[in-house]
Amino acid sequence: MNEHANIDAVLTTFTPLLGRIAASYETDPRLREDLIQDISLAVWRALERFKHESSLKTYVAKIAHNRCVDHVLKEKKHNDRLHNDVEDMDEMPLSNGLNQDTALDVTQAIQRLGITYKQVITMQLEGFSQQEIASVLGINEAAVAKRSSRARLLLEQWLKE
Amino acid sequence: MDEQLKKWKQSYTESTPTVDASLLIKQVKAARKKEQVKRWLDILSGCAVALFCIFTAVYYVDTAVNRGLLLALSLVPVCASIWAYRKSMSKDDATQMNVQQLLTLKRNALLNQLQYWRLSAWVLCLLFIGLFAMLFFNSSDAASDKMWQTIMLVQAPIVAFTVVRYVLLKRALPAALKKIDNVL
Repeated sequence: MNEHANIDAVLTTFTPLLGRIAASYETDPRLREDLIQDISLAVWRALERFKHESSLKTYVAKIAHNRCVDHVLKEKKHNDRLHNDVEDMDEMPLSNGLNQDTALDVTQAIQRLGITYKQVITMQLEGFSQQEIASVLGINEAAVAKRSSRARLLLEQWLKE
Repeated sequence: MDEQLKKWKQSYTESTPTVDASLLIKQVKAARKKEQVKRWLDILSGCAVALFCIFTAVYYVDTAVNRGLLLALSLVPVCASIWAYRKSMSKDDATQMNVQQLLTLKRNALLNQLQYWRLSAWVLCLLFIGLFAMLFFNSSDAASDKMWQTIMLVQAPIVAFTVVRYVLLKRALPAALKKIDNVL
């Protein structure tokens, strides 16, 4: 297939997916725009090597999450703001700048999650199976289930506040 | 998908950020083209420098030793271009990995980076000591001494930069590794 036609079709199909994944990692709209562009470029490069071992959607999601993790590592400020690896649910910090009277929407709540939980819950919401999530993240399905359960508990609590 | 997830999915999908797909495609194509031009420029410039060294060696150099040195030197830009090209390709490999593999790769890259600068610092320091020894023990005439002194003067900031870079990287390594570990 012509390379340009291929990337046109892929980006047209998956731009909303890429936008949602990027939004779960980056709250700044300008940085998010750069991140989406970076992900799209990585997807194009990776398309040549797609061996159909998974669905194209899973492949694209894997690349997107990898680029987002890379982005988080590079953006130190972003990492400090979003990192929420809390052990004790009672001590969860309030989200930056949010009016405590305003209910969080789901995306804002997901942005507060640590990366471990964020990846699992966003992929579940995108309709991926546990097996697909496990292959993208490089963990087993039991770990996916555990992280999903924990992420859901955290989201439930925050969305009730 | 249970009811709770379905409800969350609806809210999550509704808050999809607006992305102009056609503009994004245009931007990505421009970035891709720029990337490909850069790759080719790297390769071509490396080849150009190598050809220049070969040309100079063949037509402008008198002695066999100098000719041999220049011909050997011509390999350096070619190797540098190949290295740069392979590095850019390995960046593509990284996107294929799962997240765990990617983070392991990043950890290893940091450790390799430190090893590279440690080795460079040691080698340059030893070479510098060797230069000093040449100057100190092999002093023949003022012109020769001046040449070695000039070489040392030129090499000194390079050695200093390498050592400082190594020390700074070593200090920053634990925090950098912790940042990667904290991602998960």
